[in-house]
Amino acid sequence: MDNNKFISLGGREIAFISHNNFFLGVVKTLGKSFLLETDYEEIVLGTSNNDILVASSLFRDNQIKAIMISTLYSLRELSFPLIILKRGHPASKRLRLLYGCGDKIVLDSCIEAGTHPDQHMLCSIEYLSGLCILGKKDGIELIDPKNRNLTIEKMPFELKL
Amino acid sequence: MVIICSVGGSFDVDMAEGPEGYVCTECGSQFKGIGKDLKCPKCSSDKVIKIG
Repeated sequence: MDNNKFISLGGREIAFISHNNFFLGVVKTLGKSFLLETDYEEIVLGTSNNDILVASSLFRDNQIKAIMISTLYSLRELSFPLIILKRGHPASKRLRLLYGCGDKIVLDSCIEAGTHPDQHMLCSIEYLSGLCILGKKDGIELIDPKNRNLTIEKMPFELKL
Repeated sequence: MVIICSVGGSFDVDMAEGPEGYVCTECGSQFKGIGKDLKCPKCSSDKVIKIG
């Protein structure tokens, strides 16, 4: 059985991949750069046109799609800086949206968060662990060895009041 | 490739390679960067060169 699925995705679209109302939001980076802020320095993260920016939610909320669009839009379109908290920071316990960026993202259920030896991994709920998302020309490719029951939908990547 | 990750215990940025220094040949800004096709954070120019 072919467990690879290509999903066309334009620069003005977002793809939501979900199971049981836990969502991933995927957009193209469009070759833009992102700003990572640590305690000591600012690091500019450069990306290529086909790379992807992924948000992973660890909570359910009926506004989660709007929340993801808002945060991903802020990062990609408005160059909002991402503040990187140091390990053990008390605010870490309250953060429930995670971000990954690159040409390949592998979801992992994150028994030990923030300690991934594999640089492609992004925390997710258990059910999505092992799912791989590749950035491709004009879209993304899902590699799902477990052939999971996933809901995939696309919508315009735009802010609405 | 960068993962910015948080789930209850820690929040960190894992990088396959450490950031390197760059300078923008358009505006002269210096910055640290990782990844591909870097653009200047000040003027958005892609005319940046690595300075080690």
